[in-house]
Amino acid sequence: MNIYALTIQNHGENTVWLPSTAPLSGQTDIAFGSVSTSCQIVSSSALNNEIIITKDVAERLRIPFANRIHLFLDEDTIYIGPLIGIFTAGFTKSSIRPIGKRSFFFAKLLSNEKKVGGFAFVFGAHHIHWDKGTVTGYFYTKTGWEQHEIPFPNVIYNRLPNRRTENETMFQEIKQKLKTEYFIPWFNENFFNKWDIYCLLQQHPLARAYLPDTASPPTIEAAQQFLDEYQQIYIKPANGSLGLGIYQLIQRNNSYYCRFRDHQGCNRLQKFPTLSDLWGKLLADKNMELYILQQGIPLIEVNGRKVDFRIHTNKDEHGIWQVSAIAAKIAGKGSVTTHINNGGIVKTVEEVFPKKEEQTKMTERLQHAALTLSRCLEEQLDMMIGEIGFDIGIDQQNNLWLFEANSKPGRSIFKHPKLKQYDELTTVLSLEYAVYLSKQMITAPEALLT
Amino acid sequence: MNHPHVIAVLTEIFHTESGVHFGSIHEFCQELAYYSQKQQVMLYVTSLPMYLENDRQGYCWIDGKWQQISVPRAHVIYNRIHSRKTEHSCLFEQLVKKVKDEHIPMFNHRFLHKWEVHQLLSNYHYLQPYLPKTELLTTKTILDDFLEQFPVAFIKPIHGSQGRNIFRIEKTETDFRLDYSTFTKDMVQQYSSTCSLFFSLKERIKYPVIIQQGLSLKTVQRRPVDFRLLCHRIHGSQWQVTSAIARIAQEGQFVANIARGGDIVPLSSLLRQFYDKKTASLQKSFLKELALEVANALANEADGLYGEFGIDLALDHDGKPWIIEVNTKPSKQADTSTATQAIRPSAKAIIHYCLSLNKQKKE
Repeated sequence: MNIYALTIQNHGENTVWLPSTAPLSGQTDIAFGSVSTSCQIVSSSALNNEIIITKDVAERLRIPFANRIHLFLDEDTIYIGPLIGIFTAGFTKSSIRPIGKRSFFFAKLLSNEKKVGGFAFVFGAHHIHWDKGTVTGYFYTKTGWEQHEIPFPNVIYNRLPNRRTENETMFQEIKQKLKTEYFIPWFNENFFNKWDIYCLLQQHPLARAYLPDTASPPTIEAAQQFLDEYQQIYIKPANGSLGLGIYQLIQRNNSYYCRFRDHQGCNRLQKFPTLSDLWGKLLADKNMELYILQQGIPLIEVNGRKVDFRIHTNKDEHGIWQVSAIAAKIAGKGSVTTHINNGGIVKTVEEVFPKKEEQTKMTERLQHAALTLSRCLEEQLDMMIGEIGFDIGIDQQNNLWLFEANSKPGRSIFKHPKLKQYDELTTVLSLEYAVYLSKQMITAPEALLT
Repeated sequence: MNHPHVIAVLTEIFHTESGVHFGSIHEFCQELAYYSQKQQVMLYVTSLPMYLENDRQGYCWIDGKWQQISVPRAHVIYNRIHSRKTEHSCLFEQLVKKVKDEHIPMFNHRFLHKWEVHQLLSNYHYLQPYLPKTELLTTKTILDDFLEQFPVAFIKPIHGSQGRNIFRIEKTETDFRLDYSTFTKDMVQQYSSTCSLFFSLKERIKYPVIIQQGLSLKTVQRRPVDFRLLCHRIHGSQWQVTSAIARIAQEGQFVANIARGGDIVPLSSLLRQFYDKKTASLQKSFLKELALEVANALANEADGLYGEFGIDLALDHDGKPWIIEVNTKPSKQADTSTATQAIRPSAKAIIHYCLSLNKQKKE
């Protein structure tokens, strides 16, 4: 997509000049976010990838500063921007640290705006002025955080910090209002629920082969049935993240073993004579409605430790799924999962499969699986998603299994020095997808409003 | 005895009548040695020529003194060579090749000068708001450009340390005033044009210098204040702030280095002089976060391995934080006013990072 340099000109009035390459067809209005105004629109052969706007028009549109932008056209309006709102919570009163300890995270995200083009800003519920149809957003400029009052954005990228905030009624209402009354598309709307994801993917023929046998809610009878069939099973919270609250149950030589993380964060392995003993001691006080039961997969091992893979997929500027990062996660000793906070370590695929041939083959298979699952999930979900993190395992027969899909994948794999570069790639792709969605909404809204 | 962890500290060794001396890190080496013993780590001190000649000899802290003995092969090297000249020698090149061939991690890889640090950090756009404008001062045009934009500019040697040889230029309505950090106030000289100023600077400066946007720093009794945050790597891209202090410049001085007679106070108590409790704690959190971002960015961007940075930050009159400079061989001079026998957290952090590198190597 073409990026233009936007200049705000102090003299002259009510005019916008566009390069003659822009296919004008009698448009009379210019729009920025949710605001539009009529003005004189002039095509100039003297301009090359530059758009000039007079100060009065910029003020009417509430354009905060000159920037690198995209240009979209429909029958009567030219759209500049887009205005990308990043929705979150947890704001502070400090102007140097407006989003608390996540300020640098957002600063990095927003500083990628330069590469992508457009105006990206961070805002929260209390920054919306419904009466005026504006938002006071935080922009990150070369002098630091700046607040500007701007129109409603073209698109909203959801970065609420956790499930608890997201489930609050206030956020649900704001989201609904912006979506249905203002037709602003949201992406990465919700955290995924493991059981919902399983049910959705189970309905898709291309996804089914990757799914371990899963049931919910877990009962002692179902657990015994699963153990008879698979020897080891997992009981996981359907809304869990970071591998917390996961139990691994193993039946061996007429004994039952349970591996889990205790309240102090220590990995424990306990032995029980019967399943009902185990259940009574460890699980009886839990609300099983919120858990799932899953077939255990005998994972491949590296140096005696279990390995699984995190594959990030992102939609790009054309709205097409791409694999943006792959990492191997090696389980900590005695750990239930491969999560980093559980003693797991991150390696690259190259480090795990030193043989070139195996490396290429495994990378291709993992990529293929992640892209297939991304498309399947998108078809089944009635919301827009721009980024997914998949946890995929390989069993000892070389079959691929999907353990989890995360709509807001954690970023700990990017701490590996060789994976660092992909951190930026995923954030750039998220912003590019936001530009793509804005364009779709302007030029082909029927495709989005299903 | 078979040691699972062997650390070599590489520094300059001086032979005196009362035994060997490790210059400015002599006391620090002792703390490293005490803590190593507690952690069942073997630590020895060696110098560049000594290590290259025989890497199985080193100085160990035994029975209350440094003694030269036979040592096992080092698993990790902590590079504290202080001479820039030594780091540019063929011997140092030999060392880099040797440790690479033998897969011995060595940190800090080498000294990074002020201009390198600025360029490396500039690659990170999100740090731009906190980096004062800086250029290599090579032409009069650059000097003109800075004095047009800013009322005050600093000129610092790229290899300088401890606040030595810094010039401060102030533009007044009638002339340009030049002040020099190594002398006292009455040495201020006045120039009527940037032409005569540049000519005078050129006469006096025979080494590469940067020119930096002058900041109007927060002051205590009109004495400028800056902060030194010592950062250590834990592992991978995880860093910690090991110590955070504020430095108050000596009366009449424009640099806050302790070496120039400044005072040290804890960061928190100084911030409380400027702010209410809540704002002070917010500013402190931000300064720490900024230091960690700088440490991580620099370690990523620079070639070679880095595990320790001394990061100098400051707040301007509006309370905005700035990155003043980063020291790759941060000072280890014990603070004489509070001299204790305790092992400083920075000594512990160094040993822990060495252990983590050694563990990583085994994985």
